[in-house]
Amino acid sequence: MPVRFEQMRLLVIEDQPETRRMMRSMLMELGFAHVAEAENGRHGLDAVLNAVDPVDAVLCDWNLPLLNGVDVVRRMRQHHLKIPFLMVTGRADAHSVAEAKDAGVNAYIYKPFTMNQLEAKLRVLYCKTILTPSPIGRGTG
Amino acid sequence: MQQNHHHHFQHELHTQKLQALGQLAGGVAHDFNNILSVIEGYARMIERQLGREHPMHDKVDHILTATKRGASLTRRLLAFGRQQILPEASCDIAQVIRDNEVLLQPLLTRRIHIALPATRELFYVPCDDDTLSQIIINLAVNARDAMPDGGTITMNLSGDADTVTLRFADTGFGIPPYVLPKIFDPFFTTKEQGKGTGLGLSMVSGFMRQIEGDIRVTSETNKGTIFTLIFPRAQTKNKFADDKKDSHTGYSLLRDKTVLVVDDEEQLLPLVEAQLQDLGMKVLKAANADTALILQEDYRDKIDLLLTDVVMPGLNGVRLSELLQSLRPDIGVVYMTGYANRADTETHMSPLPRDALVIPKPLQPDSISPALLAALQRVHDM
Repeated sequence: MPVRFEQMRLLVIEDQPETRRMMRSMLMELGFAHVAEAENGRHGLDAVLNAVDPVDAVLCDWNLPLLNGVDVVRRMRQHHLKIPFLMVTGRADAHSVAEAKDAGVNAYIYKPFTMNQLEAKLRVLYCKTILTPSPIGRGTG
Repeated sequence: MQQNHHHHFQHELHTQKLQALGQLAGGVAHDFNNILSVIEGYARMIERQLGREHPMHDKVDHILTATKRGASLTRRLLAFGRQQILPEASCDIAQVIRDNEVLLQPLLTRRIHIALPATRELFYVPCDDDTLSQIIINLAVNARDAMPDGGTITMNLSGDADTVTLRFADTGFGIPPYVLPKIFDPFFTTKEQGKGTGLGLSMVSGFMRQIEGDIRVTSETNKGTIFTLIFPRAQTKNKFADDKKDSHTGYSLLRDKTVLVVDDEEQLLPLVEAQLQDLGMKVLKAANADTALILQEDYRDKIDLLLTDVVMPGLNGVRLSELLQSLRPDIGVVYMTGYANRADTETHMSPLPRDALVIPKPLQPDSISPALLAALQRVHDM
């Protein structure tokens, strides 16, 4: 089955406005038509929990005000939300990777990243979680 | 003026007809080539497992001979359709002509004399010597058939900085003017049924178009025919061919390396896998680009090489290698294809990189190893 980015609803959680804008334009260029934004962890979690149209995937920075990226994914999982979660981070140390994995992160992308890297990561995420929704399924609970 | 316009229109129509036929031939040949690859691959496995002494060995040998003939036919069709992947090579056309004299003699009769170019100059053209031999043999066979009472075949070579010209003349009965415009059409033949396929000259002209050369013909009844082949001049011997020779000793470098093979023809995958395992390599297989991306994501050890088909549904081989190398820049890439050449790929997909390592399908053991080694070398040199 082909990868169809245009139907997916993405949420970008990033506190730096210029980085957020850059990620949005990269995603648009990759063919995503629905990209929502949140500027901190608290707003990001609210957007996921209260979304009218379910969010299909979250791209989230690690260091965020109010709630950090690991807290966001941990709370999402506590709410039984299995939405694919791509952590955007500069942390590549084993401890951080293990911590994020335990919290429920599906994939990482290291800053700074290129468009090709982002596409590769999102394709893998899409195939693993949306085309074959086991063990992590799409949408809510 | 009116007549000029009409002539131009006819010419345009003819070119379009040839292009359409080329696409058709190329498309059929591509699928057929994949089927042949599967037959050939399994026949080779059976042959190996049976051993020479087995009573069925001969029968398997017949299957292999037939697949070789089939492969030769698809090569001619692909050459006509300009979709053949040509080995990257160059050779001295003067030397090839001299070498072919021996080959040509039995094809011709004692009453046909061959006059070879008297030159010591080197005329390098962008073509491997097998293809060049086929071209010369094709022209010689046509010349022979035009001279049932004997005659002379004269080959002349000349060149300037940019081109090499081969003038191939016979003293036969000539080609009638109404036939002349059709001689490069595929399946057009004046020979009796069963004597010729009508692919010989179309193959030659398809090949000349592909290397951005030209072929022209003039003919005069009862005086003879002159084919003029204009090749772009290759400045030096091909580097890849040299690398290939030097690297024969380096095949052990491939041992224990991990290669990710991607091809949407799922039947081909185990065959390629077996060939690579013969070289001592570890093989990961994927039937499409997305599966390949997942494999690299999940594979904890180093992947050294990507061997990928070019034209695939979904993400094509070029995009796959771009995405893969963005995450793992130290992966060497080799493309394999029986379909697209550099020009044609641009209509199908993003073009192959200029310096891409491309090997033709069906894969031959002596083309796989040098290409994989060259790819490894490149990432090590980075």
